[in-house]
Amino acid sequence: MTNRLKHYVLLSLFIVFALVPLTGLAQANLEINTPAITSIKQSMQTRHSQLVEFYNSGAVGLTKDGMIAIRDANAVPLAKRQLVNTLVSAENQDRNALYREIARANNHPEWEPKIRSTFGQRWINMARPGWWYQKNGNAWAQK
Amino acid sequence: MKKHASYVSFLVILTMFLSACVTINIYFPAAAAEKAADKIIEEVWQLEDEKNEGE
Amino acid sequence: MGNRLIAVFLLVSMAYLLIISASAAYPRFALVFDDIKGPFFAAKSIQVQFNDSNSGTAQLNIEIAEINVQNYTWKNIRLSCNTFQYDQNEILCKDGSITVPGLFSFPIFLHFLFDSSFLRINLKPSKSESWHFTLKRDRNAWLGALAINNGQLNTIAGWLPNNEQLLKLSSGKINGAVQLVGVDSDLKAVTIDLSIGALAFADQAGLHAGENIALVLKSDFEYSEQHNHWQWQSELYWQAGEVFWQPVYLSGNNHHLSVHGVVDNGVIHLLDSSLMFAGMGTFNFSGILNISGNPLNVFKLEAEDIELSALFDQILKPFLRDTSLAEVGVDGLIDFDLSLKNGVLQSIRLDLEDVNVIDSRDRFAFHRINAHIPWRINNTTVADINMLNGHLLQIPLGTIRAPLEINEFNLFLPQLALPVLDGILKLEDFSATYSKKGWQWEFNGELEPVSMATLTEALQIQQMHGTLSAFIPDVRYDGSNVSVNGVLQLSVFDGSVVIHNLKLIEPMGLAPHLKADIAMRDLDLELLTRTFSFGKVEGRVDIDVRHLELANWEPIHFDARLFSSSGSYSRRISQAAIKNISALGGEGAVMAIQRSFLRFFEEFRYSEIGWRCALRLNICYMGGIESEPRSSYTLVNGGGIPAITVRGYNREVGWQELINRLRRVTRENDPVIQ
Repeated sequence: MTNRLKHYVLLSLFIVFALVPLTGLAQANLEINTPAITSIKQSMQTRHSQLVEFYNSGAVGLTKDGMIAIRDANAVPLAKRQLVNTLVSAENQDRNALYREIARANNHPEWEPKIRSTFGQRWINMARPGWWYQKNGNAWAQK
Repeated sequence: MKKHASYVSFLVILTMFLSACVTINIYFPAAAAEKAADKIIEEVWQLEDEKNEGE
Repeated sequence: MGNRLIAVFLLVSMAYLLIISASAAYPRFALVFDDIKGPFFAAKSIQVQFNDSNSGTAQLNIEIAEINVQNYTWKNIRLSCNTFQYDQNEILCKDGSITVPGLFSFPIFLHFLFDSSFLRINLKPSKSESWHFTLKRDRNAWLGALAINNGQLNTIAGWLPNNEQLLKLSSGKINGAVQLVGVDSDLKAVTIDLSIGALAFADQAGLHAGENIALVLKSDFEYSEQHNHWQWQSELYWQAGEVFWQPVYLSGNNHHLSVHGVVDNGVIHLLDSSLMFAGMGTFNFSGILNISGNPLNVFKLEAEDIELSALFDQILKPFLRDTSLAEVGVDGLIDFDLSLKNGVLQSIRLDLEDVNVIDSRDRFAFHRINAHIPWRINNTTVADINMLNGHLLQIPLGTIRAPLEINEFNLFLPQLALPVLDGILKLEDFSATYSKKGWQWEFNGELEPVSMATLTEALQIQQMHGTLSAFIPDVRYDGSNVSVNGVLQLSVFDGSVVIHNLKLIEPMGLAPHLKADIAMRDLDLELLTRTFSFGKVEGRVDIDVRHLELANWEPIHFDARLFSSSGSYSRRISQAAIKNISALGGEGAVMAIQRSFLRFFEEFRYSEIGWRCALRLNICYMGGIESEPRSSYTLVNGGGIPAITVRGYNREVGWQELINRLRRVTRENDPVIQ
């Protein structure tokens, strides 16, 4: 290789960095694509396949503060009640973390309560017919 | 007289401006939050898949 | 349940007393009692009507406006005998009935013989169900016997007023016998032999419920004249069925509760009692309980060779749902004893035998833990904890022996040598305290050289060379966050790394956050680029990463700056490295080099390398050597012969896109340019 360098050549090259710019980063959107949010989302998605049975049976309902709660454990066979407990508690941990992470990701930790209440309404709004949710007076109602 | 009126209005505007500065309003993008929530809910509850299956 | 039975018998025996007192002399009468009060029950407005139609047969009606037994109230209770036979020798009520409006009404049979003082009461609430009660009297001594055949507990439960807070019994069958022995008004002995089947109960929310429960209860109570107390023993077998008692779920499988004791003046002495839990082991306990006042005066519990896996999964885990132990599997044997005095824990002893603790998410595992852990109130004890091996976040840990000082809720460990791969992590002055905020701990220490090759292999990341050693200043955990007061120093790539302001937020949570400022000095670029197969670059760099924040171990925020270290050293960059740098810029730039005469040179000289990246919301805002932002920036500044200068124009790059390109580049080992 050095043989080829018989001539002392002064070289300078400008290489254009042609990285694809990220477009469509509109300011109106909330940032929800951080690693933490993604991992929480995945964890909730996996759990949902187990929880859906209990939403359908009315054992578990959506609370107005963006959480879920055991509404009627009698709708669940005895041996499965512990599982429901565990699922509800794990789901609520995830949901708390989700709201906190969204607030953090947007550099506004103080938004957490507002994000929580927004989610509270949206979960209920998008719930399937037959699912139970908590109304303003804490009473349960069915979609 | 005219000059005087404009002076007053300038003062009023200035006062409003200053008082507005005292209260710090942190803007919460409610619409964007709803949109973000819907997107996450759709993913977690896999509502997109159902819609596609239904179609 | 006991209360309900007592209530039924009080009802019947009251009727019986009334009959006795009324029978002999008066052929026809009506009696009215306003109130009768006993220690456990009260009755209001009792009317007794007796009509003697012709000799030998008569009618008897007893109406009680209200009976209170403890908290229960029944109204308008009515006992009537349409054929009521009586003479000097006996009283017989053949087709009697007992009615409580709205609750029950069923036939009753009463027979009383005067000469042998014999009373028989048969209750037949339904066809298949019968309750026989006999009472025999021989001078002062008497013997009562209750035989229950197919007794339906749900009918009895139905008599009770509805109370939403109570468990509701939906089914249950009872069979067996109860015997009472007494002298005059004193009860001397009770023998109970009952079996209960198909028992089902639930509270309204379904958080406390049982189904298909089969129980066998054998109890003996005997009054000892000599000691002037009651001696008692009970054996309860739980043979089948399941119970969910929030948050614990258990199923019956011949679990055996054996309780022995003495009752003396309202004080219960539990002696040599035990609970044998199938699949788990036997728990022995004893204690002194005061019926009124403090429920647990003295209590001792001890157990040997308990299967920790069953104890943990069935009893402990449901309570640990919200902690990092929720996803842990535990096995091994445990011995323990504990003692309480006046409701306050006095001492605990825990002995672990070959215990394994394994996280199901594989964050940690500890194998073959053997430990002796004593704890005494107001005292300092020393625990001996040994562990054969384990791993923490994929880093293998070697054998540990920890003499842990325990003083109430404070732990102290002067020194601990923890073998980590081929090095040693030395912890010093570890102390932990338990308070309302949870556990808090702190320590300092140092890491003696670990070879990067073994560490990176263990972590399954890019192979690196060199050694890692660190001085660890004061590390604290305040209940949710781990912070390092001072600087953490490492040596890698022949340079030094200093980490300031290191903070771990919720390390065991779902989305752990890490914050730090990192300063790396004099890293050997040749080692670095060889490690990552980036293409050879000779030289040294300093890297500053300020305001670094990782969420879930991935960066979400930082201000990074890479620049050539000061000093004199060889500054060369290979063709391959140039190609890779430009490949990060997309395919076009690579093609440009390949077409140009540059491909004839294997190495170039440079005077300076620089790169900046400010990561904000998934976008890396890039810059080069220049501190002032301009439309383009210089990444490599040429110098010497042959020299090369690399400039970048794109300031905003998606972070993930950049990472993907970097991965693609480093995956291709030794790129060849033709």
